[in-house]
Amino acid sequence: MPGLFSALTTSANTLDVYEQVFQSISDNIENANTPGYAKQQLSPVPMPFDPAAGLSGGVAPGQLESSRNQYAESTVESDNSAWGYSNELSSQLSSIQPLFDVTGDSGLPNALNQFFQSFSALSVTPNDTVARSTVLNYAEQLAQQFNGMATGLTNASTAVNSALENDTGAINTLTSQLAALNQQIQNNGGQANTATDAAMYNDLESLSQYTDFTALHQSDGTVTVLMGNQTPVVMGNQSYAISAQTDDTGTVSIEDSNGNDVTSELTGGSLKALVDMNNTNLPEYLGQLNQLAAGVADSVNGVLAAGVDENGDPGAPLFSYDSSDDAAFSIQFTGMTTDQLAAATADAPGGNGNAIALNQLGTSSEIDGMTFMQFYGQLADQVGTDVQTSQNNATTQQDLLTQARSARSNISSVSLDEEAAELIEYQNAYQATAQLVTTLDSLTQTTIQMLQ
Amino acid sequence: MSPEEDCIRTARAAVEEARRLLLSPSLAALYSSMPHFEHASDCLKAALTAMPSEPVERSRLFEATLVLRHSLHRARALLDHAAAFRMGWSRRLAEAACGYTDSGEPATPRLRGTLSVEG
Repeated sequence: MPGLFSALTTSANTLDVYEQVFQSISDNIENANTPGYAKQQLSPVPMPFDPAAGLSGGVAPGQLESSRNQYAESTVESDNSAWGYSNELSSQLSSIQPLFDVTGDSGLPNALNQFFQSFSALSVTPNDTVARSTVLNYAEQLAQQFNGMATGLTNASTAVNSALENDTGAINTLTSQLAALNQQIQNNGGQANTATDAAMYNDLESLSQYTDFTALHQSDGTVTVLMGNQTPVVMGNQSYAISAQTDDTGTVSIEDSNGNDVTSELTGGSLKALVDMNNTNLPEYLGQLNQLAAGVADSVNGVLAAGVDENGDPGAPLFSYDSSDDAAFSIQFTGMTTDQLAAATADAPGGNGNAIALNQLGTSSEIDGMTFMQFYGQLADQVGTDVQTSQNNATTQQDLLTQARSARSNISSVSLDEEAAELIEYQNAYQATAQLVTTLDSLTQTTIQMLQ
Repeated sequence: MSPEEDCIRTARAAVEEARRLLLSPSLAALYSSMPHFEHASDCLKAALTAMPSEPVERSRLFEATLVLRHSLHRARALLDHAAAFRMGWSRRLAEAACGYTDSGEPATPRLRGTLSVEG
């Protein structure tokens, strides 16, 4: 009878093990679409069979193995950070591109053209009130165009600051969630159940879009997250909030929970893109716009000051602005009357000498060795190039992220023999393909040179 | 569309197909992408044999070639990324399974093999 009881017990245990196997299969099916979930597999382990020694065989549940691969996970997170950066920068730059007209039919270039052309008409009929009035109207329009562009860039900066608040908020929410998951794991004796594991990796992937980080998986089952590879934002069941601070000059810095500036540690993610947009791109564009506005105002006012108006008085300024640091924002038409416009030179009152000199300002090198239109063209070109480059980077990074996700879902082989053999084959195939692409690139370059 | 422009567009379609395949970084995808790159190369060589002289046609061809170059750079980025991923993965496996050499490099896994001798 002991043999029968033993057989019955073994059968019951075996059924138990297979129930656990079916449970893991069921979990895989149920969670197929759960973000962050990785397939798990329970392989039954055969038990020794030796009736004489009382070993009745059967199977025991083996280790529950997750198909999750840390290397593939960290590659996806790294690529997601790179994509988050490129995508955010592309989005922010694209939003300001409409401010920089490149056709010359509207916006600032059109206003510059019309303004300097109005001096051409004035030089023909220097004492005609209509010609004088036209100059003043175009001067007012030009000042308004500068103001409009400066306001547009300032609005873009406000939008960036708002996005920074959103990003830091999202990062802090995710790190709080991760700390709470760590707490659950600690409460569960260092074991992450399926749901906790899926939630953790989903949060880490979400976090990677906002910032680059290193995730250290600790022996107690918890994860430590170091933002920018150095700043702890999650340790055990504690999360440490970051914040975005703006100083008097408008420069943004990212601070850790102790108030330390950690901006320089960031290398990827949308947070870094917003910081770069606010601290580098926008100030650069606005700086050049200010230089242009101040340059136009100073040059025109300078020529006017050397001439005389209809009353024989020294020429009054046409533009005013507060300082060279905010010239585009503060430039204004002074509101002079038509008779105050100094179209004549001091030695030939009533003549057109000064009107000719003013007209020539439009075609002479007045700013960094360029005409005003060339200087504007260079600025618009830089914005256009930055937008194009960021868009190209975003599409390429999107490809790389897609590829990394594909690799994550496909990588399962841990057979060293297979891997080593495949690596050699892979290297050969890669070298052959890379050579093909290099040849193709060279042919493309030749074609471009022939067509240029 | 001129025959040359048609060649460039066909080349770009081939590169785009290769790029689509490389979104999955498997060895099979790598092999499958090769004929597309070769086809693109043939198309470009055909285009290079005769360049149009008419300015509008040249301009169109120039634009088409720039688009092709962009596609090619995206494909190249995928190719390099896939190679870096695979090398990193193998390195991890080697480290885990074979440890390190005296100089601190991951040891090279030794392939198991069999040798049969007759006679």
